[in-house]
Amino acid sequence: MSISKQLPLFCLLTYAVSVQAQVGRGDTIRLRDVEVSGKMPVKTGTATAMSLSNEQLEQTRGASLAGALSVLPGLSILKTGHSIEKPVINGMHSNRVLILNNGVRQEGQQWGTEHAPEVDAYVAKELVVIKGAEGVRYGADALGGVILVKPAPLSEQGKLKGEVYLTGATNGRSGNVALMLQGNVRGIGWRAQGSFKKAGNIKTADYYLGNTGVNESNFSGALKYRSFDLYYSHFSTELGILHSAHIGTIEDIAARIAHGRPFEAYGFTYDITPPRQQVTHDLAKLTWKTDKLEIQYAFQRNHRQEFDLRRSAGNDARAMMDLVLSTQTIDATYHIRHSNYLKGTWGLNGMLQVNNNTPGTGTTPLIPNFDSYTFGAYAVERFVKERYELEAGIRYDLKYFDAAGYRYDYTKFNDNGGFDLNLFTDTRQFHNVSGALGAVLHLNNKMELRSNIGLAWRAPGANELYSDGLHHGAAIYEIGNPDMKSEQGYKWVNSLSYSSNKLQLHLDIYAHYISNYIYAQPTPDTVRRTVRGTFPIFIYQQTDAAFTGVDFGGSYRFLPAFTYTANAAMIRSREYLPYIPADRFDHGIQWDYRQCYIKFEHRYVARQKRYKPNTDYAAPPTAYHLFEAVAAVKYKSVSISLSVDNLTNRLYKDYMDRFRYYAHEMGRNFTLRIHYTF
Amino acid sequence: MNKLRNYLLLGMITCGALTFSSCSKEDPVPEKDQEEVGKTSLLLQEVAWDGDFRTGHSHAIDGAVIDTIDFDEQGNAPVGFHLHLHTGHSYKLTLIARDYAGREIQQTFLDRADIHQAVILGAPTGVLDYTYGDDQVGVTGYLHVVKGASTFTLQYLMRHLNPGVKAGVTADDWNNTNYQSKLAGATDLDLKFELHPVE
Repeated sequence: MSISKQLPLFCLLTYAVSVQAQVGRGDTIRLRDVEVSGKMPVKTGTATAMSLSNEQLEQTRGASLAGALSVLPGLSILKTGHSIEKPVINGMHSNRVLILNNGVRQEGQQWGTEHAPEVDAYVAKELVVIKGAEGVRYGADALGGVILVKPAPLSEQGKLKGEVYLTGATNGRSGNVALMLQGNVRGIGWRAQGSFKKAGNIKTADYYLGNTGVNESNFSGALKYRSFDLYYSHFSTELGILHSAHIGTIEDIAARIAHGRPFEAYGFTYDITPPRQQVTHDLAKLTWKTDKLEIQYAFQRNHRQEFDLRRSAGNDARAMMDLVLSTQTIDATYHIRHSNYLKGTWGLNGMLQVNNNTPGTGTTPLIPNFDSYTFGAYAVERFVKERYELEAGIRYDLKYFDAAGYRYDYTKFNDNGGFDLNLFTDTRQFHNVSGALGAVLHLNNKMELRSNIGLAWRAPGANELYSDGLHHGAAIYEIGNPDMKSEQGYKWVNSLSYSSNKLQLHLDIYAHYISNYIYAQPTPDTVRRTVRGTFPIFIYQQTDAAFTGVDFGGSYRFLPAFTYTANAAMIRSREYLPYIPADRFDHGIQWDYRQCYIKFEHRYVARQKRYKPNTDYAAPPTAYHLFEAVAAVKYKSVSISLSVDNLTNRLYKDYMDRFRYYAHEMGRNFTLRIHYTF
Repeated sequence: MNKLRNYLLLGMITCGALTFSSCSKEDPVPEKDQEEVGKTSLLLQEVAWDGDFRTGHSHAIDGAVIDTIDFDEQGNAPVGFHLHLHTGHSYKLTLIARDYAGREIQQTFLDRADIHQAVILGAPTGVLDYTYGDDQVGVTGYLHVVKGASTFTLQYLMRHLNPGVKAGVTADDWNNTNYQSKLAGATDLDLKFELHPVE
């Protein structure tokens, strides 16, 4: 058992040292490898941060980014079926969670709850979550927190090194392969990495979920020469959307909810048919970095295609939604040392986004074409003494948004018996001043108290401003509001952590107030009647929302070989809001023997009781218990583990799954993981 | 080396500045929307029926009038519309659907017969029967008035079936009230009008 299992503030560094000694002439004594473990705090200022331990990272290989992060207290998943998973930090997700992919803010179509982040989790050697509203340092959208996806540093030595991951799972009959090679040639550090995934229909405890397969292929390359870093990654995924989710009218939804599971019966297949998504994401960055100054330019291209069942023959191969989002960012950071104790970080950020709908889809786009220009400037000052640290920051952001698109007038037929298609254009300008204050008090060498209050903001997205039509992929009628204001979030996080050889404890208590909180409210009592039937309406609304919560993580080594771990998370909102995670408690016991361990875990997820009747199509599902087990062994450079999720093959639903109305979660799943380093 | 570094840095900043200033959105293009359905009509014309309602066939009647029902934006017949059909008679029921530009699109339902089927609901038990006149889609069909009844609202639903569903559906499902489960999928058309079977 890693002693850092429940230590959110630390990551585990492991390295092996081979020692050779010569004794006498021609006699060589080869000593066994010595493994030295150390802990290094996650460097995120005064904000509360946690990272996955090496062991947790190994055990979540093959999972999505959100799936990997969900082992941390306070982190959960917003799902659209099994294949689309988004990370949730203290109840915040999508545009309220910022993902920094190798130092670049990930910009895809993250507004959609059915749009998973386009990040290859195999790239990460370190996954860090910052729970504070880190708007000053990272800019807009970091209301709920920040996820840092960090690859390993490039090799400084010429020796060729590499890693191979092989993962296979029974449920979905999925297979993952990931390869990484790195080295250094004449002072140029390099790395090449790739991963491939294939999965078919997954099965609940009782039945297969039709069209839930995934094909994914990703690769990346990095070069480093002195102060310059060059990085490129390509992410490509094709994933099926549950056939049973292809419904529309109120009558269909009511019938499915009453039935509680799909009407259709499907078997296993790897085939992916409409409705499906095909997404590619390219990211390139060039960084120049010295001790004082860092300049980074990055370009991203996100191409999202969504396919649905069409009325016309032979048209299923044409995307119903075809969006290309290009993002360019330029960041300049200057580190200044005022004195031995006072250091500052000043920065400028610029971002240009261009979103275009590819013509020829045969459907009127839900999201308009738009340009978005963002400029930000910030300064963070940090005063560090032996027993305490103080931090203060301020930031100014300006965003200009220019949109143009077409929208139907559904209120009346035109003279041809069709509907008029009207051009609309709009420009909006948002600006905001953010701030942050934080302190860390090192009570003694085992205990630390941390407090951070931050203001972050985000401008409303194109969908929240301009939607007015049938979202074919989601089979809902969405209505935006072009007069929406920007959200402003104030998050105060207080953390207490204790770390000794046997006992590790971490407690976060937070309060989060968001003015003009934007959410899509399902309106079961209001429907849109069309010639195609009666559709549910989701209206984007704003309210002032307040959240409070507690996250707890701990581990106790009660015998030399036995460790008990526990995580708990609770969040409360002042008033009912959709998709706020229910209370959760995970705990487990682990037996370590040399380089092997066996672990049993139990998870309890309570029913979400903070629910207002008649504001959703169905009441939240009941509470559930899940049991998991894992056995792992490490021999020299090879690690092998076998795990089983949902050990009792329970048929259950999760409130945070958007398909919970008519489908259950995954049943029992055995996963074999092999990791080889050389 | 410092020179090289400075040149690279300058190049990087220049590239960034140039690309920043040279990108903007494209003008949006109005789509020829293939998924939106516009004005829709049902046509009823009396025919002579030969044989039983499953395997029989129709003969045209010279001079038979065509009743046309034009539906509004919400799929409703005009206010006050009330159709009388006679018991013991059969009527050819034809769908005319148009797209956003007013072009007829009912053929697209037939082109994808594997995922489309109409159901006709609302009639009291035993009052109506129906024969699909095409590939079990219902763009063309025959409505048989078996016995009289008081006025009811007839609902014509064109179902857009999920993959594999049609294989388990038969012509006998023409009036299946459990269409949400038996004909699982979405609805492409939902049309309603008042019908009064009379002697």
